[in-house]
Amino acid sequence: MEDKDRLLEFEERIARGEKIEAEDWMPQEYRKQALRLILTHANSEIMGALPEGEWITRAPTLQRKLAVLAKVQDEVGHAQLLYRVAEDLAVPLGKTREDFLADLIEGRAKFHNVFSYPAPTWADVGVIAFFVDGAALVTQSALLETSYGPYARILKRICSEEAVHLKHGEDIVLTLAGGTPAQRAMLQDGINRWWRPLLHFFGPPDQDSPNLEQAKRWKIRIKTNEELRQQFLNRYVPKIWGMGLQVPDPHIRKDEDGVWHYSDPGWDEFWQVIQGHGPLTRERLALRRLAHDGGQWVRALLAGEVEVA
Amino acid sequence: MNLQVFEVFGQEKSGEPHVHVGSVLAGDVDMAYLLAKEAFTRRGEFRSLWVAPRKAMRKTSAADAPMLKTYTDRSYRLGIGYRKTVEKWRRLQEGRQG
Ligand SMILES: [Fe+2]
Ligand SMILES: [Fe+2]
Repeated sequence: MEDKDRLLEFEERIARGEKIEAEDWMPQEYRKQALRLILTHANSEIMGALPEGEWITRAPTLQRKLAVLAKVQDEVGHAQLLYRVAEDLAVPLGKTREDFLADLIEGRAKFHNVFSYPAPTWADVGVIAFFVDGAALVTQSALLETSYGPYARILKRICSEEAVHLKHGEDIVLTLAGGTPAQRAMLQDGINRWWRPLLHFFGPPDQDSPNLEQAKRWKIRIKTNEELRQQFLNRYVPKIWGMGLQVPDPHIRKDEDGVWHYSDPGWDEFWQVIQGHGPLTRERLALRRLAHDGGQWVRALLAGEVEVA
Repeated sequence: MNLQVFEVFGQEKSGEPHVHVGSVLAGDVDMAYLLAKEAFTRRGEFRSLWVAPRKAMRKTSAADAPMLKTYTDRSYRLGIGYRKTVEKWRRLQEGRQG
């Protein structure tokens, strides 16, 4: 079949709501875009484990320590599932998990902006789990409808675990919100710190998102950056107000049509962070490298490359 | 590396089928089983897991997908093909009463 006919048939399948599987014919550009999306997600899961990982030894109670430990394990587990999906998609490109992990460590791969920021207090752990995982859940729930079947299936599992992370974060946040003035102040500081990175999380305004239109046409992505950001604001601004805390934006408001208006968060910082110049990007990648290199002998053992006496 | 893909199937409840849940990359079937446990059932979602090397499986490809389609009327194989029995009962009973 001519590529032109194949493309036509492919687009008809998408239009009928069929899912595309790894072995199916797909346009090179579809493969690249889906792979980029899945890898950014995978990298973000594995990098997302790091800020909270710092708090495992410092969690205030044993119960919290167990919960943070489990969450970190979940995030690394999500990365494993996603790299596996990415590997199958990348077969014709000759790329494997080793390449993905190397790309990440060498700073050649992208991951979400939020994981380049510091988590200096226990409140940050709560804000990350409640707000950052909440933001991720908004994005990932929309992707449950993606046309790439293996990604859609694995997202179901991931989303159900993210929903638990969110409850865990909500519990930390509500404990602080109902605590001493110092605890409330710590929480407010945490929210202030994360507000801008959270607005950035969903990506630039839609007109500055070059791949979005094609990705939506092929149903790789379902919603635009701004649609997702609006959904997040609608869910979380009332929660911040409900705790009697402030949204660090004097212009935040919802109009009669239900549209949230917010101050322009400024996008220079976002592009800086995405290109590897976030406040802690280097340090976190160095930590990732340490884990990767330190785990080399384990991977060799798992692969049966080392004889166990 | 000496790794290969293993497909993972999990059973949620006794008596239910094992359903495909994803795959893992491993050196051998025992390692694949262990990784499947870590990846897919951290919360006790499954009571049983099966792992099988992908290369041992025969899967439908785009080329042989048409083989699985039905091209002629197969209603005689389905319950729906025998709906007319309702009408036949009705006519038979009307005939006996009249
Ligand atoms: Fe996750
Ligand atoms: Fe999470």
